[in-house]
Amino acid sequence: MFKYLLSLVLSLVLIAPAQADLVTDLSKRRIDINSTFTGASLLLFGTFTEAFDYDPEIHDIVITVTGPNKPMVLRKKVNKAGIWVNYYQQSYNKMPSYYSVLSTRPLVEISDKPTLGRLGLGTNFLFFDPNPLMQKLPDTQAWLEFRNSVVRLKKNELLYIDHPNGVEFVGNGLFRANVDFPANVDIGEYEVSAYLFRAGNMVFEEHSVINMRKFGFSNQLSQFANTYPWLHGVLAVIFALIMGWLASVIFRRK
Amino acid sequence: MHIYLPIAEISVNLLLLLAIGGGIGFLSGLFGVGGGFLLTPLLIFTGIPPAVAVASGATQIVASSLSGVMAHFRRRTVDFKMGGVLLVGGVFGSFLGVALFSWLKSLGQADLLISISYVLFLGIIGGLMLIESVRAMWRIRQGTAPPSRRPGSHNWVHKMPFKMRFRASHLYISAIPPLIIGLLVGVLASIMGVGGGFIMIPAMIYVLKMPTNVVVGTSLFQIMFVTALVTILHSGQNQTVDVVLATISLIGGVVGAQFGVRFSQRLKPELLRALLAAMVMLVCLKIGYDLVVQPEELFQLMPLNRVE
Repeated sequence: MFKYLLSLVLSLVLIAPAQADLVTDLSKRRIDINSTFTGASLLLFGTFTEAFDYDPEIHDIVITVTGPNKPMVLRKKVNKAGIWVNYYQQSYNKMPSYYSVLSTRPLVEISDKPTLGRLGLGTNFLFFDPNPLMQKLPDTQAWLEFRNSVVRLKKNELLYIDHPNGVEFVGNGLFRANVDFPANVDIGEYEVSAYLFRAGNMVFEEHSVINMRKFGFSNQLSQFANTYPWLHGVLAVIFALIMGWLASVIFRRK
Repeated sequence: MHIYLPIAEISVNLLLLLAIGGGIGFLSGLFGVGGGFLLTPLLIFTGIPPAVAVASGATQIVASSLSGVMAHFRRRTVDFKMGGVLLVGGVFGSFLGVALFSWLKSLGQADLLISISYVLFLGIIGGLMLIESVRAMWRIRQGTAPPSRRPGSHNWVHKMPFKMRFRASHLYISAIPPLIIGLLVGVLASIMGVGGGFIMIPAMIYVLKMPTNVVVGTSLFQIMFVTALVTILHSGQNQTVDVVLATISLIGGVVGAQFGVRFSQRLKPELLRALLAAMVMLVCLKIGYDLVVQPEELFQLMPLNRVE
């Protein structure tokens, strides 16, 4: 219907003083989505200072955008007495509602698994904090199938994105990365992290926070329904009665 | 042309939603039924989460029953005392139904509850209607008269305590049967998103032996208040009421009903009932089929709502 594509430009400046002590900066700290039809896309720009000697053979950049954590539960259907019912389950205490990872090369080529795992880089290394008290799994190996299913379902909804070539150099040490957000992203604080790798070692990291906000009728409505559910229910009834009355006035029998 | 439903959190085709609402409205005008028991399943078939379809279905019925209540109020064909007793039962039933719904939702079984309820009730209702209408058509072909019923005959309903006088219905019966009927309808409204007229009207005629002229107005009176309460409870406890969805299906329904009423005069009543029964059975079979066939996606990710 409407197609609002909101592009925001964040400048991510990696400055390299003599001790390789880098600093980043985000020029904007807010994303406003005006419509929920197509979501939003965010353009990140970054550069090095002239003193930094960038070498594409040994240097890599990884950028992650992580949405607010939510407690979630994953259920698996099993055929019981001929009917497919939710049977197995695993709950997770903190699952990022959104996670996007962009890099200059595939992550496995940038660094080794222990490093990626320690930093939690890539959807394969995200930690959801499974709750052992709220689980029912067919066997001890099933946790991996469940964990991978979370990532698969989130990727289907475009809420988790692995973008191995998402950080592009446009010349003169200037790089850009495009981050997409689908229509149903959660509002709240999103952490933007930038990592600089040198020959497989992480030599610099910087974290910033941006605020995801939503505007527009349907967003306001859903936020109101979640904040004041009982008042929303009462207003929904009043609205339905007005609608019903209007309908009977319009179509009153002649 | 797509529209985003804020609570269902999906984009659906606006014309498809209007067509579904219009089709159900057409059928409800054609057959003189509310149509909630067909609307909610069709909304689910289009991909709307079942919990949202149920709650928003109830909201739509608040609106669509109002004009009927107003018309019956003007014609004085509402037994307010009977409606009140049915409503007291309905209030308890709604609380019970929504509590059951919320509890099963926290266990991840709300969708199963909805599906099984639908298979059960649509199967019974559709089956009974099919048998009845086929018999009626058979009798007309044979030229025999339907077996006569003796009105006002006493049954077990008249042996219960707590008798009340219902002047508009010319009845002096126990308050317990209408309370139980109201309770059952309240439970059905909250777990199926239906008005429950398809249960209540036969129960009022055959169990309570109410005169047919006050049956429809009185049931609509109860349905409007019960679905209003169900809307508030579902919104408050489960946050599943989508006003946009309810409004679109209402608009389609109101327009469709106008055509349905006009069209109904051209068809034979027993043929109409057979057609409705066939539709009900089709929806029942589709829901049942979805329960027994292996789904494409076995995994389901849901927000964890803590049970306080």
